[in-house]
Amino acid sequence: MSKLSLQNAMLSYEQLALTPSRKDAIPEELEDELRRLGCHFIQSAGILLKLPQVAMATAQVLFQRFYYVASMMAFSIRDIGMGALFLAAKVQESPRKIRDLINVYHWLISKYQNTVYEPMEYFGTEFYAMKNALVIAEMQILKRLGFNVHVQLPYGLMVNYLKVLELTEHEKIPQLAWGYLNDSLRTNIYVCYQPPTIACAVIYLAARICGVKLPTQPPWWELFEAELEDIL
Amino acid sequence: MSTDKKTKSPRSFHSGSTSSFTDDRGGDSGKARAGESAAFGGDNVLDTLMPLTVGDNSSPAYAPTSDGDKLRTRAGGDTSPYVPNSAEAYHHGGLASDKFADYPDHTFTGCSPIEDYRILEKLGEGTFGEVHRGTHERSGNQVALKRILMHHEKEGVPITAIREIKILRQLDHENVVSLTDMAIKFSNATDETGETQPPSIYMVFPYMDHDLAGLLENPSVKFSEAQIKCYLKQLLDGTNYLHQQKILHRDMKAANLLINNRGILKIADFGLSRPMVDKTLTGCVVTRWYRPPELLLGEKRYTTAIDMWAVGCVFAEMLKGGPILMGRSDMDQLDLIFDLCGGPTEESMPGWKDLPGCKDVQFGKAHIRRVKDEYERYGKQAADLLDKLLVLDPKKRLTAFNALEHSYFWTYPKPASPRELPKYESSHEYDRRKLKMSQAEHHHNNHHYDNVPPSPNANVDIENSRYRNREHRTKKRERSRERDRVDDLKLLDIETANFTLMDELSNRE
Repeated sequence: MSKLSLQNAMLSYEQLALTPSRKDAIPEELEDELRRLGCHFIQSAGILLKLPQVAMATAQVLFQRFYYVASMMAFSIRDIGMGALFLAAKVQESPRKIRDLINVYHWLISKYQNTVYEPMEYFGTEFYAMKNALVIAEMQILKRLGFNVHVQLPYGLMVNYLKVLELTEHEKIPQLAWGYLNDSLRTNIYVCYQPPTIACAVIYLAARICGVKLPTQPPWWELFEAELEDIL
Repeated sequence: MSTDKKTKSPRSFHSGSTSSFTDDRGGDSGKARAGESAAFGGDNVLDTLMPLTVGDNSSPAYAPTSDGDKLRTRAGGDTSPYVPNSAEAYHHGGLASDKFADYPDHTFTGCSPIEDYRILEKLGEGTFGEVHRGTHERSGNQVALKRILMHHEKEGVPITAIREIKILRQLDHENVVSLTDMAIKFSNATDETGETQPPSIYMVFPYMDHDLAGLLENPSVKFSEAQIKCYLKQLLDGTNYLHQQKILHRDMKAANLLINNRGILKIADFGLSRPMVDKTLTGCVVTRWYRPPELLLGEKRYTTAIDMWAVGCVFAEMLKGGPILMGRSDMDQLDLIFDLCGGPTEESMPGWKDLPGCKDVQFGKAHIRRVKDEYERYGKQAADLLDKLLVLDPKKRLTAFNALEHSYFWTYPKPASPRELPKYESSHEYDRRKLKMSQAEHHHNNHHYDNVPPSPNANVDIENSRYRNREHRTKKRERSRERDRVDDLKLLDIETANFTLMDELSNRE
């Protein structure tokens, strides 16, 4: 099984500690902030483009991965965000048009900057500049990640685990856990842990918040190839 | 959440890999790695090529050239072009960095600059790009480089290419071609509007000596029964694997089946393949001669059975020595199929009248199925297996799994083992000219030819005269076929364009 499904690429300890951006003297806080903002744009744009959540999730993982091999000095989060989303949409078999994507991003950015939104000119230079940047960004992502665009996501796993734990009917836990998965896309856990571990972690967290006890004899997480130390 | 990672026990690939390179280079301490980076750092041409690149060399986290190379060397450490465990090596580090043995699929390494490879002669044209032979500069390994055509003005990297790469990276089977690397060439040229040209992307595969179509057209090559069984078995093994992985190949044909001089057959060209989904797909797939009746009649919800029809066609082609159903148009193709397999009836192909392609079609004469009679001369079991593959009704067509159980593979002569198979001079469907020039000489000096069991009337003189006649005929046949092929290719191009469009549409629904 493990041979057939490609595992997610994991970061090494050094890669995690010293990102390319950090080397270019970008402070850690700023980098984290930019990562979150980039992911926020991807998620919002994905919703506006009516993409399936898997596409946004894939895009955010690609985005996170990318900035462990390239610096924010060299690539703007807008371009890479667009490139990642554009690429992820294709990877997840629901491609979107470049123009739609650019329009959405343009709107999101003007909203973020609190400026009055003005639609782009149809054949304006701004559009072509953005389009060019997007195409380059897509190529850079592919190149830097060695065309390894396959991302395993824990959504399906998490639902299955909930089924096994008979928690699917619980009024809060599934929604909560799902939300945690979405939220955690903005962190680096998707490049640090394999999907089963992440799925267990969100269930653990959701169950704790709701005060639901899970079997500890034998520990439930063992069933799902996760280790307690990782979950915590 | 803590970002600490547990050190997992080392994965088996260090011990499992047979290449001696692994042991020498695999056990890389931080020190050795740093040295290596520095050593390769000097000739890292990556920087100069890409406008947006930041310094790569200094970063231990991102040293694509040095690490990637180390790995590729290792993956192809064997001196022969065919590394028996290249698939394994690839999945366990061929593309990934082996810096961290605990994370064999660790792939934060980027891909190689095209300068790593020397591009040699053209081998053929795939569905959306050309294939060149090449060598890996550092290891000297022979590779095949498939260039992905980029249509700049459209939508970035074509989704078909992404699909192909994604699918290939998921697959790992002896009888399926393995993607060993990706290489990018950035061009500095600009077009008239001042935009930079899109970069060329190359997919790197291990080099294969022949393709099946090329071998079949090579008059000095004659397959023995055990050999055909061996190839067919491998073809079915590969197909079965694909179908188990829920992948439709959609372009199975003799030209896409690669064979090396170790007798291993590999399914290649996944340019049209895609994961199986339960929705309508485009019918514009599969080269016409191998296209099953349901596709020709416009079925849009097809199954893995479409590949099995093509497998049947390839099987018959191996028996007969040439393509069996060479339709000049889709209608002609249907005629040929019905002529061989009998006309469609409610019994032989339930629901055929409801297929969209049937509306404006008149099938005049009633045909009698004669698959068995036609191929009886190649053996009872062969005819029976073929009879079960070339079935009009896709639901009744044999699956790859069931075909492997057929007694054809369990009766005398047993399938040859790939090692016993004869070796040939490289035969690709694409370069027949070169082949023809070397033919005469080849025929006389072919020591390996002795391995083939003699044909019933094996007498050298007779063989020679037959061969000359045959060559003449082949030439004639080839000329006419060339014309067809060109038409076919053109058609396929249009179809591919349509196909992308239609896929997009169907996805949007």
